[in-house]
Amino acid sequence: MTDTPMAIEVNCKTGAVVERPFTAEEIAQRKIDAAAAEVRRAEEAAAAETLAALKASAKAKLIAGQPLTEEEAATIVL
Amino acid sequence: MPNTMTLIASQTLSTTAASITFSSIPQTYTDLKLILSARLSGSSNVGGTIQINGVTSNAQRVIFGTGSAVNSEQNNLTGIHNSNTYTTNTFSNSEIYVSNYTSSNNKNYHYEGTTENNATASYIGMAAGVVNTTSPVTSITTLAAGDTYTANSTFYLYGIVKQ
Repeated sequence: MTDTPMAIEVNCKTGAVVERPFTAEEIAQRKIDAAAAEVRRAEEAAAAETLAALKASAKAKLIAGQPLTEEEAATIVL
Repeated sequence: MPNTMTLIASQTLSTTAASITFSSIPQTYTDLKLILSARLSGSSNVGGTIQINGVTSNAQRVIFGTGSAVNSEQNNLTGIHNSNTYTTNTFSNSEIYVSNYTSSNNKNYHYEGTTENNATASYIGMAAGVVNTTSPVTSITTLAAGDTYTANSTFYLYGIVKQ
């Protein structure tokens, strides 16, 4: 069973700190936020994979003396 | 230009938490600055949203950089923090700035943050948003999206008075 996420509230007026479980509405919003974060993670992973492939291709072509595409050349830091 | 920056409240986590809210914010300053030094329990460094006065619908634009690429997005994700794959005992550094928080206009904020890691990759996130509330800001919440902040993550809320 998944643990209920906990919220911490700091009252700036009194200094009181309360720890409480998320409400149903907060849990629902948390799922929406998690889905958005997952979309970004997937985009990051895809971008990283593309970059790695371009670098590998650029390296192979340099070794073989073959011309690089503009995208491959852009992966080289000068 | 800021004239004074005063610590309103702070919180250092002794255990994990999914969100931190600063409530009953005094209305005696001009702007607010929330500074986070945070680490996430999960394996992804993507994981934060912000709520002002509990409002969940922000119109936000995000710039997200990896050090070798930059993306531009439209979502509510503000936070980029160290994940559990990062160097042990390291935390990200972020700040959220809310200007004119007592005004009767919709509330504008910006976020910027960077990770800290003994590795070759580095991440920075920047976001600008508008929250559809004309009420004075009385609470700010930072949430770990689908994740939790680890123990020893810190959150400091400052009030800024302009000259």
